[in-house]
Amino acid sequence: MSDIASARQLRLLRRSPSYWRVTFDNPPLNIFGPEAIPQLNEIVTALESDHDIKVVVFDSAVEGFFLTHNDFLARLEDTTNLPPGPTGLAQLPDMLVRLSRAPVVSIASIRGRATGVGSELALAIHAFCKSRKGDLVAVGSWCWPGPRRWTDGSTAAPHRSRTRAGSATERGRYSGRCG
Amino acid sequence: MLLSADDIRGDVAELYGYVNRALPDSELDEFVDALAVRIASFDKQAITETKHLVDIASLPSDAEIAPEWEACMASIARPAAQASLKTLMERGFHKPGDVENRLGYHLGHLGSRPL
Repeated sequence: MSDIASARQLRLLRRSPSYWRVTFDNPPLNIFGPEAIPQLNEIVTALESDHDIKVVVFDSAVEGFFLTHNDFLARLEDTTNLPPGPTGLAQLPDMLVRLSRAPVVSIASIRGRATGVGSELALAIHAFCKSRKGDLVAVGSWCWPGPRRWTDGSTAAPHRSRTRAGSATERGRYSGRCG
Repeated sequence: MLLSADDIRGDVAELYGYVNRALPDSELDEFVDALAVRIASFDKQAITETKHLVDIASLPSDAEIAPEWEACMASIARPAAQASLKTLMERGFHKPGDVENRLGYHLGHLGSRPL
């Protein structure tokens, strides 16, 4: 593995035994490539197994970009040829589902663009706050729908989502889909 | 969201329920930190059980998620997507600049001449 490929793109800071911060730090655009997959997996595994952790906040060290799309300069096979994760799903959806199920509350603190993988990560986790300054995007054909859904089964109900978003904060939950 | 493939701002994301809250930039860090500290003060078992019940109500099964991923990976390999990616790359995708800053706009103008 080259130095570039092995460079840390996610930083884990234990603010306290029960409160951790995970910071995406892959400038200049916080693109998510295959080399980030084992790094995220390591963190998700720690969140699943640590006895004290209760809350994790994901944020970004890159101005303007929370976490963006797949690395389309990398070979697609470097992602698709990875062995499936513990759930049997491919590694990225596996990690997002495991994060959804981990015994830890996860919060995305979003500044800047959350597209592709960044959007999926946000949809996989529970509380989700963002700066009004930033943009958020869900991008066309290369973004797979997020694992959350409206609890009534609908996928497009913006007039309801206003209420849902308001109550979601108090309950620490949220539902949504992206594309 | 699924088909428009456009950028939305934080306030619209809040309106759609895509995010829980959209906050003024100056308030975001304090709000998130206070929420995290507050939740971290509670009992882990209560947090875990609450989250589990929410998952039962809202998290699709792995069997439902698998075809979504497969459809995504298959779509990237198709000629139409590869042609779109090539055009985007030529216009500056994967480099700091307008395509990355306004990707939604540029996706909507793939068929037109570059600016």
